[in-house]
Amino acid sequence: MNRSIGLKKPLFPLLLLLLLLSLPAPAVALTEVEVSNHLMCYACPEDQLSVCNCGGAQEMKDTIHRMIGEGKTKQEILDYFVARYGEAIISTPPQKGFALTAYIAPYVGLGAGVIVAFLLVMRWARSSGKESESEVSTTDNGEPAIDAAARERVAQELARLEKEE
Amino acid sequence: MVVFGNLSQFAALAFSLLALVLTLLGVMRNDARLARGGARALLSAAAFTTLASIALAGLFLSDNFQVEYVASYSDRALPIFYKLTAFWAGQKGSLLFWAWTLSFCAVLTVYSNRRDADPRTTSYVYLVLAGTLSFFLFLLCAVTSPFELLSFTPADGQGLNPMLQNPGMVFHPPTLFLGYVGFTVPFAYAVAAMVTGRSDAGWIRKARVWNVLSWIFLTIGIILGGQWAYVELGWGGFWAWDPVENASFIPWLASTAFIHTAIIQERRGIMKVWNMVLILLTFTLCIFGTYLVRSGVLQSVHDFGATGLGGYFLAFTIVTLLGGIYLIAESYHDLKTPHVLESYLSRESTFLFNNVILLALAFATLFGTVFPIISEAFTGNKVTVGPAFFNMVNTPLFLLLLLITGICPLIGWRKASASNLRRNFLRPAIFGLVVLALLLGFGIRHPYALIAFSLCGFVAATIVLEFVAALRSRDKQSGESFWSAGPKLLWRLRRRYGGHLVHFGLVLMVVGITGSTAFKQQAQGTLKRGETLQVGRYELRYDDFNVYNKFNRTIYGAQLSVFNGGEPLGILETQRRVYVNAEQPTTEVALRTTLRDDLYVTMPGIGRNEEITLKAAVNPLLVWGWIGGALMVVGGVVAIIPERKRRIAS
Repeated sequence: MNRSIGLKKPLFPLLLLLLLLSLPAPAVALTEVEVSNHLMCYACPEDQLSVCNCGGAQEMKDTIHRMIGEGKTKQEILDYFVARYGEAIISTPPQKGFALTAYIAPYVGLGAGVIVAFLLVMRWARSSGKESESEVSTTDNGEPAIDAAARERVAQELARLEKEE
Repeated sequence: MVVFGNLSQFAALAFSLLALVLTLLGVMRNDARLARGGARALLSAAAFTTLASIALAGLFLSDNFQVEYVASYSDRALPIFYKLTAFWAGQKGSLLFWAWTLSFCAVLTVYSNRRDADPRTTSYVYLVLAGTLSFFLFLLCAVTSPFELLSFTPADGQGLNPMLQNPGMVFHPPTLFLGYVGFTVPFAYAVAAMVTGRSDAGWIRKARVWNVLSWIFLTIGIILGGQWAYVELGWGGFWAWDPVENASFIPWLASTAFIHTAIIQERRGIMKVWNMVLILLTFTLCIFGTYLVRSGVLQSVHDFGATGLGGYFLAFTIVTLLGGIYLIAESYHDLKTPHVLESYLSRESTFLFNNVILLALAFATLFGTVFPIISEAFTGNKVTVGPAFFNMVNTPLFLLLLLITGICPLIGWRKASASNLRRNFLRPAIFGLVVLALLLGFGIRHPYALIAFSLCGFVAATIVLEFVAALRSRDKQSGESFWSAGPKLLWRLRRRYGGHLVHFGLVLMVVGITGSTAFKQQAQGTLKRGETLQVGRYELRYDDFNVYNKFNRTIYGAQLSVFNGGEPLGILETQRRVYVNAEQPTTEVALRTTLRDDLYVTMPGIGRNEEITLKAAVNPLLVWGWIGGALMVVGGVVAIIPERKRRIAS
């Protein structure tokens, strides 16, 4: 499918975008939410920091705000909280060990799905290639006129129905 | 009233079980009369479910606090409007509401099949509906009745959570439930089609309308939930990847996939097995989502707590899933059709890839949501999976989805010719690149934002150009003016252009989400009267502080003047509210929305001498997300308005 001329066009801007991604870009201003999305609330250990409204959460957000003001990076701020409250304060699974599967599995699934879909399309299109030798004719509005194979299927279905009755 | 409610509930269960038995006997003995009796029993069950719901609403309105559920979610001071909506604020009432909606769907289904010549199929449809309704009514009668009494009558109720006292909360749960519940009907049609062997396009046409309708309600529910979170929770976001949010988003993705491949089955008669899988998946995910939410296995802001219902929902999920798989396996030979594609490159093949991406997103979200449980089972370590994880894993998948949203409509059914493709692709691709160049020119370097906005440009261009081209060709034929022909064309081919409207809505939504997350600006400060806080292009001046009582709450309000480069833009009031019966004060957001950006101000703290702490954020382009969401809903509605004469889109 990627051999066809048509798909080269959207691939081109995509490649360009990928190129741009590799260019060094000036840092975008860090926001409090970007940091708090990675954290749990220390006072309510069951709650995500970003949505927690308790006094403890407010305190943590104030700290994040202050550290951003001091020019700290996201990682530095997260490290600070880990040093203070331990690993459990981080709300994202670590990118190592078993937890890595959470990151990888969706893309393994995507890859498998794409391969299966690709193989199916190949197979279906090939089987149509065989049939097209018998010339599938179409009616005026583009619907296929009934061909011999379809007629055969209809006959089989009817026979089966009759048996059931 | 309590006795009346209880009796109605039990009568509803009895009739629902009767419907189950009658339809079962009907299909076993192939007796149309029994099936008709089943339909009537189903209608009676619906009538009694309605009566039970009226009874519960009456108990709320009459402040009957001896009823445990009323005492837990209402109090005397609660405005009457919220007394009614407290109906679905908790576990028990929301289950009754669920059962009521399902019974209402059953009535509509019976009505729409009143002249059906195929009683065998409809019997199976009623069978599934009666089975599901019986399950919910059983839970209500036997496990978690909203009419349960306390041993004493408290003087007042505990009141409704202040955060739920918001107009968004009034419509968010019912629309979501309508979505969830609605999927029962297409599922029932699918089961009927498999059992009876009538797996032609007949069932899918009926299922399609229900599926799109449920999809519309689910979409509305999700968007209202986001809107509620945005204006009520005060953290400035609209989506937190909370398990309950995910529980609504996952079936939404599966049903979106089904909507697309159902079109293929309707047009080409292929992918029958796959469509069965998708509708089974959608329905199962709805029930499984309910299990996740109500079993207490996951932590969530929508805390229903450990309700003792988890086991029932898990059992129901498993039975549905296994039963569905069995049916699909059994009817595999009936369903199997020789798949023939005229070309590698056709609308059909791109829809396959769209399905893969949608399901990959659903899988990623589901896997992330249940990962704490999986991790605990395998390593004994209960990790948390927060929003940053979902953003990281799902964003690339979203962008792929957006890309394919643009590509699909460019590729014709059956077979796309190379020259056709080149012509169709060239201009949208150029437009996407122009958007990219402009953004780069404006100094924007945020990688995801660049990709997202360029893709938005590409997709929007494909939609607009296609419509213009269709208009032109029509223009030549009819000689009508360009502008008067537009709405006519949209109306005439409303299935197609309804779909395009949904896609355009998606584009706008991506614009809103990307703009407000990638270019968000935040500021915070403690101010005395007359002092100012700068956030983005806005300047906020703290002018005045007021304390007053309104309804069931005390309001502490700070008045702020808004300026942009010295030019006054008006006055905002941000509040802290203390509700009667509530422990914690809540934040009331001051919001100034323009097409360019949202100014979002909260007041997390009030100090001595009316010194206040302000948090302000500028969320660029956010309003386009809401507009896009509305457009998606409108597009969905347009697409299901029946076309009088079935014709093939040329």
